Formats: sequence, C-alpha cells, structure tokens
Amino acid sequence: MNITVLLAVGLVALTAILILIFAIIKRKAVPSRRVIPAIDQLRQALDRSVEGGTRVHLSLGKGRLVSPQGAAGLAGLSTLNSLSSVIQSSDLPMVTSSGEPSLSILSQDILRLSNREHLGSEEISFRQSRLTGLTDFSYAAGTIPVISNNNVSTNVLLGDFGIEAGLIMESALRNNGTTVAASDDISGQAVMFASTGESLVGEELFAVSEYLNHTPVHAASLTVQDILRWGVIACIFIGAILKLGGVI
Amino acid sequence: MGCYRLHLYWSDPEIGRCNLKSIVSTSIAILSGLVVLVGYFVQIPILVELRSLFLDWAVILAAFMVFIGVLNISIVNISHFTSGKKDGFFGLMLIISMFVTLALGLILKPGHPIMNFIFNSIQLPVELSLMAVLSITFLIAAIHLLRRKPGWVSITFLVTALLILVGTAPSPFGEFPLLGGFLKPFIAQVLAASGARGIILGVGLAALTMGLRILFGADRPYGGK
Amino acid sequence: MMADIRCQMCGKLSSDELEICPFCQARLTPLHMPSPSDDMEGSDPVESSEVNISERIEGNQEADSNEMDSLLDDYIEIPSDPAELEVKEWLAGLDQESNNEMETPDLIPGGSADTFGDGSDDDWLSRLNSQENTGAEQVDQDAEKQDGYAEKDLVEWLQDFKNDDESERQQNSQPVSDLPMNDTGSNDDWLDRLQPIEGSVSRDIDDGVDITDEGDLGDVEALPESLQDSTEGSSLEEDIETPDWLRNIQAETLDLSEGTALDEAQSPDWMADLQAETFPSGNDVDSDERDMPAWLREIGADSLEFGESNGSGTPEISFEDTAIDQGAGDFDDEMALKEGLVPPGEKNQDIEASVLEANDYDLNSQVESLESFRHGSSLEKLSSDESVAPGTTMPSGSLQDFTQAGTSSDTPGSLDLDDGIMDDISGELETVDLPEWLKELKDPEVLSSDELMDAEVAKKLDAIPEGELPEWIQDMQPVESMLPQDEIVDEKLNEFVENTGPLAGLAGVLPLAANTETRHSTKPYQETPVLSGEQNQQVELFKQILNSESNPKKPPLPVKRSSQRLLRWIVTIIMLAAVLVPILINYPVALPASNYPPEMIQVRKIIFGLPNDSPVLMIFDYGPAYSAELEAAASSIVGDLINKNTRLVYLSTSPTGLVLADHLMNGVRSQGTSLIDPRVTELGYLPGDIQGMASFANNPSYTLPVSTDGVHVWEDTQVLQDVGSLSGFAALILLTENSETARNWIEQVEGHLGNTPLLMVASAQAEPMIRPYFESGQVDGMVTGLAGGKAYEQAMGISGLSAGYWSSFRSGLFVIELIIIFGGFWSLFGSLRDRKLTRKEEV
Repeated sequence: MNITVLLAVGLVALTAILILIFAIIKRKAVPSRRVIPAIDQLRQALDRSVEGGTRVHLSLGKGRLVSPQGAAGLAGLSTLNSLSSVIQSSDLPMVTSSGEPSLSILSQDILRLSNREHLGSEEISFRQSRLTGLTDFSYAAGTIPVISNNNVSTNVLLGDFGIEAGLIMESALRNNGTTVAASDDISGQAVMFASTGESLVGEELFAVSEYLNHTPVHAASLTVQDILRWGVIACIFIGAILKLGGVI
Repeated sequence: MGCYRLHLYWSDPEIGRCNLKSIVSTSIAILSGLVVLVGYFVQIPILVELRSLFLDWAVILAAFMVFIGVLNISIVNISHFTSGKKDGFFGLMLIISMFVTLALGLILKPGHPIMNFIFNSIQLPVELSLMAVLSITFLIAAIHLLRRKPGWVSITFLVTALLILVGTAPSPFGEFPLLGGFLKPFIAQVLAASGARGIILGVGLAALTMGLRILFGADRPYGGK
Repeated sequence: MMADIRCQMCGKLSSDELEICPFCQARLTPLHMPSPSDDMEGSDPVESSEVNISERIEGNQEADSNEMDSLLDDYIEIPSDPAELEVKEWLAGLDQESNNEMETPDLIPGGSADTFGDGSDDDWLSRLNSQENTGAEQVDQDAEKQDGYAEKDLVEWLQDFKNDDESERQQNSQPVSDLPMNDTGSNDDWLDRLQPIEGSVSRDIDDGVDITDEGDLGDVEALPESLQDSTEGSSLEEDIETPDWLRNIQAETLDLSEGTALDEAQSPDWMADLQAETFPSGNDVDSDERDMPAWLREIGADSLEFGESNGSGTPEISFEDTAIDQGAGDFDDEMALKEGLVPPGEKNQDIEASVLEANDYDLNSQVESLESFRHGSSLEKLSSDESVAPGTTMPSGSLQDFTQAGTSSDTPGSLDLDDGIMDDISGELETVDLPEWLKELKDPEVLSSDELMDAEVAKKLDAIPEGELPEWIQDMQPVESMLPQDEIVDEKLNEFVENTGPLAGLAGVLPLAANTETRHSTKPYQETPVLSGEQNQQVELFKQILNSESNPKKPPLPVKRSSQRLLRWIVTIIMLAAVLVPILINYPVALPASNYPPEMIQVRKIIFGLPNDSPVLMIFDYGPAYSAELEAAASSIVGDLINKNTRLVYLSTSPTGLVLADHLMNGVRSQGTSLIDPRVTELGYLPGDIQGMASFANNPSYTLPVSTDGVHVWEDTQVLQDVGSLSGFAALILLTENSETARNWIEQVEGHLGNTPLLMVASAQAEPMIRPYFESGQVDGMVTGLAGGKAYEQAMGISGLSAGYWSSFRSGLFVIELIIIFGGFWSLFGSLRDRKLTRKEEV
C-alpha cells in the first residue's frame, strides 16, 4: 500500500468520522448557512409555481452513475426527493428529464414513492420521468419540447451538464420561466452563468438538497466539506512552499 | 412489547412491503459501496474479486438501463402520437427511426456502410447544427449579459472572453503580440485554470461526502425511505 | 326607660328630657306662657293631653326621679291654659303628619314655594327676610362664608318667627285665645301664651334679657310637683317678655359656639342635657331622659347627627339666607322633589362664631316674634300658600333630619307617638301659616293641590312619568355610572357653597349652574371623531394595508424578449457572412512561427519519431457535435500516422465513437493526406466508463479480446501479437472534447503506459484543464482545437482541413469579438437607461 493509497484511506476515514460527529452534535442545532441567492430564487419560483398551478421541470443531466460525474446525478436525485414533497400540492405534477438511463429510472422511483407518501398512490405517469437522449446534444434537444409544451414555469438543472445546457436554458428563457442551474462541469458552469440570472457554482450543487430540506447529516456533510477545503488549501500552500524550497 | 409493535408494524401489508423494500435496497447499497471502497484500498484477493464482480454487474446494469431508457422514450413518444398532442407526428417519426436503426444495427452490425450512412446523414449533421446554433446562442447571451446581470462580474466575464478570443487567433488587421503571447496564456493557463482547479477540488470533496452519505444510508437517491 | 317625645315640627322622636328637638331645633315642649285667659283645668282635649303627658312623664321617670325632676324643671312646660294645650295638640298633629311623611322624605332644602302653594302669601317669609336683613346680618354673612349651606341657629330661626309674628300681630292683634283654632285646636293657645301679658312689663328679647330666667316658663301650678320643683315658680306675668326657654336657648347657643359644654352654673339643666345629648359619645341617647318637645328634640338629634358627621358636636340648624332673599324662581322644583338633595355633611364650624357674633341677638325680639307668631299666624297661614316665597330654602339638613330622625331608632330624644301623647293631635295644618320646612313635613296627599304645589310643578310632575328620570339626570348618568360604587368624598364639592338658587347657602351641593346646563342641554356628540395627527396616520396606514390586500402584488415576471428572433437572424447572417466570405475568396492566412504552441511541437516530434509499422492506440471519446473541430485538429496527425504504416487500433467509450472514427478515416482518405490505406483495427466499444478504462488499462487483451470483426487481434501477429499491455503501444492518442474524460484516461492509464507517450487531441474548451497535465509531464503532447491543427499542418508543411477552416475561423472570431464589444456596450447603456427610468418611476 503506497502513500497515495494511505492518504486516500485516511481522507475517507476522516471524512466519515467528521460527518458522524457533526451529525450527532448538530442534530438539534439551527443550521447557520450562508445565503445563496440562487436557492432563494428557487424557493420563490417553486412557491409561484405551486400557487400559479404551473409545472416544475427538473433536469438531472447526463452523468453516469458509474462515473465520477454520477455524484452530480445523485445530487440531482436528492434534490428531486426534496422537491417532490413540496410540489405535491401543485396542480400539475413535476416532470424530470435526464440524459442517462439510470438517472431516469431512479427519478421514476423517487416520484413514485413521493406520490405514495402524499397522495396514497404509487401511480405516476411515464411522462413525468423521461430519458430525452443518449448523447449530450440529443439529450438537450429532447429536453426543449418538455419545457415548451408542458406549461413549465420553473426549470431546475442540477447535474452533469456541458455546454449543451445553453440550449435548455435558452428554451427556458423563451418560455419566460425561471431557471436555476448548477453543474459540476466547468464549461457548463460558464454557460449557466452567462445564460441565467442566478446560477450555482461549484459544490453549491451538492448543497441544494440541504437548503431545501434540512437534515443533520446533510448539514454535517456541508460542514465537513468546508473543513476539508481548508485542509486542501493548507496542503497546497505547504506543498508549494516545500516545492519552492526544494524539499519535494 | 417491542416485538409486538414490530409485528403490528409489519403486519400491515402496505407498510410491511414498503419497509422491506427500503431495508433491502439500503442494505445492498451500503454493502456494495463498502466492498468496492475497501477493495480499492485493501488489496485482499477476495475483496478485489468482489469489487471487480460488483463493478461488472454495475456495468451490465448500466447497459441494460439503456434499453429501459429506450423503452421509456418509445412509450412517451407513442403516447404523444396517440393522444393527439402537438408534435405527436414527430414522436412517431422518432419511434420509427429508432426501431429501424435498431433493426439494421442488429442485422448489419455497426460499421456497416448503411449504418454509417444513417449516422453520417442524420445524427452527425443534426448535432453539428445544434453546435452551430449554440454558438449563436452564446453570442446572444453575451450580448444580453450586461442587461441581465449588470455588474463588475459580468464585465470581467466578457473582457476575459474577449481576451481569450483575441489571443486565440490573430485579427485580420494583424497580430497583437502582447495579447497572444502573454495575456492569453496568462488568463487561460493561470487565472482560468487555477479557478477551475479550485472548483473541481470543491466538487470532488462534495462528491466524497455525497458518497459517504450514501454509504451511511442517510441519503437514499434510490428511493429508499 | 326614658320616654320619647315626638317633635311637633319634624315629627322625630327625641328624648323627653330634651326641651329642644335636636333635629329641627324646635321646641319639644310648648312654652308656658301664663295668660289670664289660660285655663288649664278645662275639659280641653289639649289639657287632657297635657295631663297625659305629665302622667306619662311621671310614670316614666319613677326609676330616676331625681334626675328626671331636674330635667323636667328645665324642659317640661305644662301649659296652664287650654290654648297652650291646643298648641300642643297642633304640634302633635304636626308630628303625626311628619311621621306620615317619614317614609317618603322628599324634602328639598329650601323646598319650592310651589310645593306649599302658589306663594301668594309671603308675609311670614317676608317677615323672616326682614328680620334676617336687620337683625341677623352678621349671621347671614357668616352663613355665606361657610362651606355648604349656611345654617341658622335656633336663635335666628326663632327670630324669623318673631319677625313674622310681629307683622301679623300688627295686623291681627288678637289674643291667642281668640285666634281661630286649627283642627288640632291647640296651636294658637300655645302661641298666645308666648305673648307678653298685657300690662306687664314687656321685655324685649333683643334687650338681651337673660333667658335663663325660668320664670318665663309659665304657670307652674299646673305642673306636676316634680316639674314644679324645677321651675322657679314665677308666673308668666312676672316674667315678662323673654320666656325661659328662649333664654335657655340663647344661652345654649352662646355656649355652643365655643364648643364647650355649657356651664352648668349658668345654663339650665335642660340645656346641659341637650348639649350632652347633642354631643354624644356615640351612644344612643336615652329618649326617656328627654323632656323636650319633640320638635326640639329632633333639632337636637339633627345637630347630633351633624355633630357626629362633622365632629364638632354642634347642633346645626341653618337657614338658607340668600335663598330667602332671592324669592321665587330660583329654586328648581324638580330638584326639590326628585332629587331629594340633602346637603352633605353640614358644616357648622362657624355656627358658634356666628352665634357669638350675633351680639345683637335680641331675645325680646324673638319672644315678640313668637308672640306675633302666636297671634298673627295660624296653621293655615303657615300652610303651603303662606308667605313662603318660591326659592326659599329651608334648613334642609334639619328638615331631612326631621323626616329621618323620626324613623331612626337611635334618634335622641325621640318621642314615640304610640305612647298616646299626641292622640288628639291631628296632622292637619291647613289653617296655620307654616314655614317652608314645616310644610314639607305635611303629606302632600293631604294638602290640597293649591296649597302644596304650584301649577308649574304640578305640570312637571304630571309630565314626568313615574320612574322616568329627568333629562338632566339622564345626562348625568354616564358620569354617574362611571363613578365607583364607593362613595367618593369630594372635598371640593363639600367646600363649595352655593350662592344662587334655592340651595343658596348650602354647602356640599352640586353647582346649580352645572346641573342646569347638564339638565337643559347635553353636549352634542360629534358624528366624526376628532383624531390626532398620529391617529390619522395610523388610520391611513391601515387603509393602505386593507387596500393592498385586495390588490395582490403580481410576481415579477421576466421581460419577454420578443426581439430575440430578429436579433438571432441578424447575428446569424453576420456570422454566416463572416465565415463564408473567406472561403469563397479563398484568402489564405498563415500563422506566424512564433505562434506554434510547444505542446504541438512535442506532438510533431513524437509522431516523427515513431517507427514504421508501430501499433498506435487511438481513443475516440468525443461526441458528434465536436467532430468538426477534432477532425480538423487530428486529420493531419492521423495522415502522418497512416503514412508511417502504423497499425492503428482504436476504441471508444462512447457508442458513437467508432462511427466517428470511421468518419475521420474516410475524411483523411478523401483529403489525400494519406498515401496508403490505413491499417485499422477496431476494438469496439469499451463500456463501463472509468471502470472500463481502468480495466482496459490493466489488461487490454482481457477487456477487449475481440475486434468488431470478430478477430482475436491480440493473438494475431499482424495486428497486436506483440502488444500485451498499454506499454506495448508506440503511442496512445486520446481524442476528446471533455476535460473529464481526458483526466479519467490520464489517471487510469498513467501507471500502465511505461514509456508510451500519451498524446492528446482536445477541443479548445478543454485545453485549460488539460494543459496542467502537459506541464506536469503526464501528457507528452497536445493539439488543441483548430488553432493547434493549423499549427501542426503548417509545421508539417501540409495543407489540411485546418488550413481550409482557418481563414473562416479567424474572420468569424473577429466578428464575434466585435459583436461582443458592441453588444456589451449596447446592453450596458440599456441597463443604465432602465435604471434611470425605474428610479424616476419610483420617485
């Protein structure tokens, strides 16, 4: 076991322990988080959608679950879990779209469970969860009619998006809908920043579910993320100094 | 008393079924994740083999999910056509083209000139066209950026984009050595790269905590309650 | 047990030991006025009643005879003549009537003159007034000074009587015995006895004769022995003008002003007893000890009450001086009847002073007034139509006490009528000109309407239904309802002395002017309340809130960009022109040599250094949308590889990768960059993404053992027999547009490449993220985008696809730059203009 593996093991173990500790400590504490305007805008948009009787569209991206981009897809699914309970009171059920089959199947499962919990029935329409394409641009192209033909007022793009997200967001803007987007891809983030009023950058994608539905474990994971980030910063500084000093 | 309550809890068929499903799915998820994670770090033969086995199963499931996705597409578009909705004809076209391509691919195998023809004639131009439309879309978005989000961030964004564009290719009026030789590399390779690297690091850490939440069972995107 | 004597005036019971009623200060026992006409031994009912009185007294005083004898000597006056008895009966009749009035005391101080008649005959009252003005000026002044109503002492009251009697005596100078008898048949005789005996030396009371001379009490022979002892035995003829009782009263009042007990050496016993009774120690006065007339006892009882309330112990007997002066019209009849105002705590602090100051007290004048009263006045004249001027006020305190004392069980010196003393006395007073306060004692039902009530009062009474409160009371009701249940002692109100109206001189009454205003008119309530400035602001704010509720705020909707289509077409046309024109004109543009990127140079070196017939692995992980850029960048590299007769092995992790690979190969072949046919082996689709990468990197022959043609390429010597792992390849070229894919491949194959160079052909968008890998040495060379391909072709000296795209690319970039610049400025100015407009609208 080389040093790299050891560091990896230590990092994973430390993260797990810190999450458990903070989850226990802060299980009854009021979360104190910084304000993210995009999430506030999302809440307002959801409220307007519910009150206005319009539909909410959630796009999960094209990240494969077996790939590192799968984490973004899982974050989108977690957000879907939080949104589904809120959107249940709307006149029109929410619709999801994805460019990855596994994400499409999981989103169907979440919607079915949410229906059972709030409406007493697991029946959902197959139109509520769609696989719109298998490639990037086919996925974006297939998402455009979902936005334009289903009385969608709020679009939430959470997942692995590339530059093809521009097409989706352009369609949302044409429908005068509110769009909140977040991606783990740099190119996608740049496109989202230029196309929407409020966008999420970086790891804010993984904080959306916590902001919408607070749980102690979620809050603890966000805290641990901040701690680890500072640790990485410290390691970079130390490594740079050592490199400059010729130590390493 | 606890057993009696558990019995009552489970005796309800609806509750019992749902809870059993949730428990099983959560257990499988946690167990699989732990095996793969430990198998990466600890080179124990059995763990390594289990890890490979689980990964193979995941790959197979992911491939099988493609078929499920295809079925989903088919059902949606058929419903569009049968319900008489707008653009329902296009749904029918999509279904026909999909199944024809599937049939030809199964018969002729990928790489057959006919298959290549279909790809090269339909999919490739479509996606290339979408890319071209995307360029226009980005240009329009750049024009409206200062109106939509007026501020120094937007100005910085546009200025940076301009510098990169100018540094990428020389202008018809000549080359700007300062821009192409220094500024563009500095912006692209130092500023942009460092910022991107930081974002990626944060995403990586978030992905780590996300995975651990799934391992703990706190986060169940697979629908377990 | 002491006997009680009922006062003839107020009807209250007083102790028989008292000579003066503590309530109304009237004489409880009639004065003994010796007169030749007096015949006390006649079978006169009065005489018989007097005998009964004496017998009663005798009977009641057996237990304490000594004390009683002394008291009787002072207080008891046995009338010696029938006239006197008749007077007693008249007084008893008054007592009865007053008893009938006790349940409904509607006594108003000063009582309306209409209550007792039309006030046509005010002679008696006018005499009172004249006497007040001349003889009791000092007393009036003092009375005005007092809080509440001014109280006249007994002397003044008696002086008033004298004044009235003088005037009547002048008119009707008749002996008392000749006066017509009233129904009671006794009053005139009593009054006659008060008159000085003809021929005798009349002594003017005003001369200050000592009234303590008990010779004025009349003939003592008719008195019982016990009583006779008490008297000095002097006849009335010898005691000229000043009756003893008057003298006693005078002396009593003089001493009372000092607030001290009477000097027993100077004052008669009855006076002392009266004083003792009027200044009680809080205990009930034994009525059996009183031998005073009932009315006098009640006066004392009133003064006792007043003394208890005020603490001075001074008997209070007051008259409303100013009210008498005002005459008719000043008194509110309704107030008198309905309200039943009784001046609260009468203050008689100055009574003693006023009495002391009344140095001009003329006992003789008082006696004369009594005599004139006896001769000139009758019960009829003293009835309601007598000279009781409207507005004349009477000592309400004393009058009320008259009405109340009779029913009070602790009334000092009360006389019980049931004892039979006054059996023969009827309550009829129609023939006697009674003063106001006496008239009020009469049962209004008994008196005629003309005598009792004025027409106006009668109308008012009829107008007001029973149980209905007058208007002025109703107006006061809200105030009264807010008053606490507990009695509030309004000291200011007590200090206030009314100086107008029928309540003039009384203290502690509500101001008549205020009551009148309240009664006659109420303050109109405004329909719209008057709000203060702050309240108005709050009202306006509340209105705004209510109005805003009906006008829901619409959520801000994004501005619909209707001009987007036009702008799109414009931009599209411009871009098409920018791209097509250079192609059409075929304007070649060369890159300067300084612009060759180093990573491209490395690629060129590596490609040049590859041996012929070496296996090269190419990974096609890009999408169809990026095929144009990547094919332009990679076509020259692939051409060079083909020209080196390399064995090209390619695979893809995306389903469309193999097809794109074929497209690239066909393009290279069509361009003529390759001179021979490529030797291509398709390993096929690599599933599992990063897992597949890792698996392939670890064991490529195990991961992809068969090509798409079904050939086991890893065992074929013509293809990959000598390649067992990734390190067996001469080079590994990755074609991708995604930095993540590049990173994944880099990370997965790093440990398995060995000396095999890793080259990348990447899209320009992934170049920033992949460059660090090049700079760190993990990537050996990199061609990024169209610019890299152009540079490679120029460096290789060939003209490929990139060269054909370069001029359009460069012009297109230039137009984009211009559009961004001008469009940015246009948007910036537009947003600033919108802000100004928004601010103007807000202002």
